[in-house]
Amino acid sequence: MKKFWTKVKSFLKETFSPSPLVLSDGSISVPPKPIMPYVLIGLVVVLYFAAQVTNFSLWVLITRFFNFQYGPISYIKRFFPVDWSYMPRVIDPILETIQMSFLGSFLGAAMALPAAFLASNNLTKNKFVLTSTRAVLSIFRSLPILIYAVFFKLIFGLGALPGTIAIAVFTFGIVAKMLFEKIETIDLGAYQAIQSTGASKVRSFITAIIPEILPSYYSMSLYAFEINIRYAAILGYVGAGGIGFDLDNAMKTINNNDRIIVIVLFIFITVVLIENLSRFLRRRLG
Amino acid sequence: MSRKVASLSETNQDVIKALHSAPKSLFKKLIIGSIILAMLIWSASAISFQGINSRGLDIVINILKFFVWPDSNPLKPTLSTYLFTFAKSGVLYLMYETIMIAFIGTLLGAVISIPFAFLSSRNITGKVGSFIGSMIITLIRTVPIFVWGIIFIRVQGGAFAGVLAIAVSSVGMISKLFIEAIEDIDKGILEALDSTGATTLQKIRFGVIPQLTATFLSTTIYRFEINVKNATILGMVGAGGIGFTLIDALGSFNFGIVAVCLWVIIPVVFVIEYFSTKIRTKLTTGE
Repeated sequence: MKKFWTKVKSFLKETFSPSPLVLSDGSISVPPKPIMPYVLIGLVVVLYFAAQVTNFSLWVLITRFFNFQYGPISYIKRFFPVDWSYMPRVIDPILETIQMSFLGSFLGAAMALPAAFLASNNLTKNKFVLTSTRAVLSIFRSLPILIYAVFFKLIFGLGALPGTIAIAVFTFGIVAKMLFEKIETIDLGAYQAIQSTGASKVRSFITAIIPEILPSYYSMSLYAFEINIRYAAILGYVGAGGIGFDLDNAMKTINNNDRIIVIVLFIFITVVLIENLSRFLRRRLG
Repeated sequence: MSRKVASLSETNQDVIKALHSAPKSLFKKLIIGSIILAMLIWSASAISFQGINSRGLDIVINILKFFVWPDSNPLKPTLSTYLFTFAKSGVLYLMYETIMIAFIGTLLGAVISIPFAFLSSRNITGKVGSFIGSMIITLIRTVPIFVWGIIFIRVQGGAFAGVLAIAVSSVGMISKLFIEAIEDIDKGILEALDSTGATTLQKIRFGVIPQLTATFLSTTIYRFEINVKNATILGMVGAGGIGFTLIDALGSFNFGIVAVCLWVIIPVVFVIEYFSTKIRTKLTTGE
């Protein structure tokens, strides 16, 4: 028993502060203090609290999951038999979803260009403009797109318009961030040279910086369009247009549960098509 | 202008020549431009602008007013009842719950992703396995998070369903990035270990794990950052977190509560994003 404890003790000591090693040439190498054990202990503590707050328990998960009468499987069973006759009625909302995300991505990406100019620390020297632009951008990014959709729905009423604007705002936030990070890495030689000929800042930005960032800008915008399709699919939940409305309806109404697979399948096909198209175009750009 | 240029030195002549011999891409640009324009017109046709809601402007002003100071309505003391309290209906507790949902959900998702990613990597299970895996991943990523939420409410409503929804919806992205890391494994290291006579377990311990840890950790942290945002809306379908309070308050014009929620969500997301970026840069560029 005593031997066991000394073993545990030395194991703990080695994990938290490994003893120095004596190398063959007699020099002593002190290993760096490891942080991993502390991180792991921290994770376990947080995990304990997290499980408490969320009532998480593997036992409940396993028993309820395989409860075929009331569990999730009983719900999924209601998706069958699939109501394929619903298919023609999915096409219009799907097209609307694509339209919303295309227009939203376009508007957002177009607004992102001047914002990125103001937010990159190598082009904008004014601290106030720089910080406030970045603050606005991070506020735009930190809220989920759905909250913007609810907000714009209150202003513009139901339909595709609030959804499109919500997508535009979100796209603006992410594309502008990726873009100013890109601008900060480029060589400013040409920009300064053009400025030294007397051109204005905006003029030299257009002539020197834009051609350099254009391929990545296009690729970022395409990427935003690609991810927006998936976001646009849920905006209908709050009445902001697109397929989400039909999906919400199909999930909530017991009689319409057999439509869920059709709708999800159509979203799946759209996402795969647009992702592949966008990836093909981005490869051509890169 | 041209006369002026011609009188300059020969180097400038070369520049002019180079300028004129630049590839002519006007035609290509016209085609791409007209495709985009056509798409824009088609997309714009989906939107019907019925004018701003009669209360629209009012709502904007109110939201801004309450955002600056949530207690603007003296009849509804928002700050004391929702912000400065740790009660279970208080925004602080709800945000704590939201972060915990994201935390445990991300961890669960990452744990599920590890075997899944190994099973669908091209260098382990070949083309068929990787194709099936990639289809499953796209399917998981396509199904909106609410659908997962509603399905898992059958296990247990509230935060538990949120955890499961976050976990399953994370598996898509996490395993996609895990697979990329696994497919990028440097085989030379394994061969070198082979030549020293290492056993399979030793090869995994010293050859495989060290190559994957950094990417796995940074992927998981990045997903945690996204999941906190996702968890803030899961409450809409009854899957726990701050979402129900927020969306409900927005819908019922309780802008004071909305403002308090935003006051809490925005800084929390911001801080998480800041530390996540810091840790991930440290992981990818080395200590």
